[in-house]
This record gives sequence, C-alpha cells and structure tokens, in this order.
Amino acid sequence: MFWFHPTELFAEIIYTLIIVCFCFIIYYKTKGVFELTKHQGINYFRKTFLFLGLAYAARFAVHLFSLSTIVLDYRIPRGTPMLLSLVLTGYLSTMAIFFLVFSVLWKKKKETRYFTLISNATAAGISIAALLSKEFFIIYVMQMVLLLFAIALSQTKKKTRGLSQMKFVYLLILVFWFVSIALLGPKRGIPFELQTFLQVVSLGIFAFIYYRVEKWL
Amino acid sequence: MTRKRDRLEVIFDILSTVRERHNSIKPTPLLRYSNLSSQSFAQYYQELLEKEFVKEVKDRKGKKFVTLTDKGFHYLEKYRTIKGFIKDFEL
Repeated sequence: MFWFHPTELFAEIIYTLIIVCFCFIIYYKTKGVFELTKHQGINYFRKTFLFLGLAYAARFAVHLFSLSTIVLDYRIPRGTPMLLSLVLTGYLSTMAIFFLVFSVLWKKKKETRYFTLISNATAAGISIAALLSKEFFIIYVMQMVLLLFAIALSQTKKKTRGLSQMKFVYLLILVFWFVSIALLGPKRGIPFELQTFLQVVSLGIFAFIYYRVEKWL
Repeated sequence: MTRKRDRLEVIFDILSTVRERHNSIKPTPLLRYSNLSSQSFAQYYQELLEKEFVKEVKDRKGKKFVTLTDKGFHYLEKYRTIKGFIKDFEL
C-alpha cells in the first residue's frame, strides 16, 4: 500500500503544504466578510475550505511512516498513522463535501435544521467504515455515492441545464480530491509524471479559487 | 413586478437611509422609508442593534434617534464587495 521514494515523498509534502495553505488562507480571508454579514452561504463556503485543508493534512498522515524513516531515523509503527489518517480523512473530507454542496444549495432547501446532524452522522459513518475496512477505497466509494446523490438533488426543480463556471470549479475540487484519495491506493501503473501532472492541475484549481477570493476581499 | 430584496439588501437600505439623514433619524420614519412591514422592520431593527450596526441615542428632550456605528459605516463601505463576492461564488 505504501511507497517509499524520497522524490515522490518530497512532491507529496510540497503538494499538501500548498493546498493546506491555500485552504487556510481562503478560510482566514473570508472571516471578516462572514462576521459582518453572518451570511449562511459564506459560512458554508469558508467551512468547506477549513475542512478540506484539514482533510488534506490528515491524508498526509499516511506518509508519516515513510517520512519518519528519513527525518527521524525512527520507524513509526505502520498501522498507527494509517488508522489515524483513515479516521480523520474520512470524517473531515466528508464534512468538506457537505459544506461545499450546501454552500450552493442552502437557498433552495427550506429545511436546514437537520444539516448538522445528517452531515456529522454521515461523516462519522464513513469514518467508521474506513476504519473497519482499513482501506481508503471505502472513503472514495462512499463519498462518490454522496456526491452523485448531491448532484441529483441539485438537479431537481432546476429550470436551466448545465453547470456555471463556478459550479464546474467546485466539481473539479471534488474530482481532484477523489484523485488524491485514489493516489493513496496501490499505484502500479500510475507513473510519477502523471501523478505530478494531476497534482499540478489540482493546485491550479485551488490557486484559481484563491485568486478570486483575493480579488474581492 | 419588483424583485424581492434579500436580507443583505434590506440591511443596506436601512443603513443607507440612516446615513442619508445625516446619521440621525427617528425609528418611525426609518420604518416608513424601509418599505417593510412593522413586524419585519422590528426583526431587522433588533438584529441591527444586537450586531451593533446601529445604536439608539436620546436627545435632551428624551426623544429616541437611530445612528450608525463604525460597524454600520463599515458594512455600507463593504456592501458592493460582499454582494460581488456572493454572486461570483454563487453562495
């Protein structure tokens, strides 16, 4: 399941660091405008990036095993980082998906009382399922089902067809999250160059969101 | 038919009305200018007081006036940015 290659590990550290920085900067930048307006859409939007940043950081925990052998000359027991990463990544990323979907849909849905309960229960369920199966793949599958359900929900009562530019960007954020999870699995057949390319595109999407936030705030 | 104002627009309109009246207006004319029902206005007014966007002051005769706080002025300055941000990100 784990690979050990200093170059790939270095690329992974840089990739995670940049994404986490983008996410936290977006969260911080939107603080003022949220405190001024208490706008629910802004609230969900900024929480998306808070949870996404934490999810990417938690996802990196699987590499602590490899990193510890280089930096500390000590091997962290292989199972510990993986279990920690599975539980945290499952919960945090599912919450991020909920917040992102809800930031767009909250105006259409009159009933929002159970949002906290449903999102937390689903995130905890996915987290437990991942822990029991000890596979990132289960997070991937369950979140994909969740996303398809959210897309179907957003299409109900919709008068116009197609995606706007920003919704397309939101969809890409989730697609590249799934790619980042898939890259944690057995990677036979995925060349390093392709992996790097996907990570660069992913960074480009986060940079685009950051640029748009920076433009306004 | 005119479009229904959203919450942020209503707040902007109320605060703008106060500013345009030299930052001092009685609550009753403010209700009239706001184009809201008295029930809706009461809710918005309470919210603006709680969030410290406006404050109530009394003159020497004990008459109540509404004035903007620094936070209220800040909201007016930032309004276009906020609207642009919400529209751009489809929130």
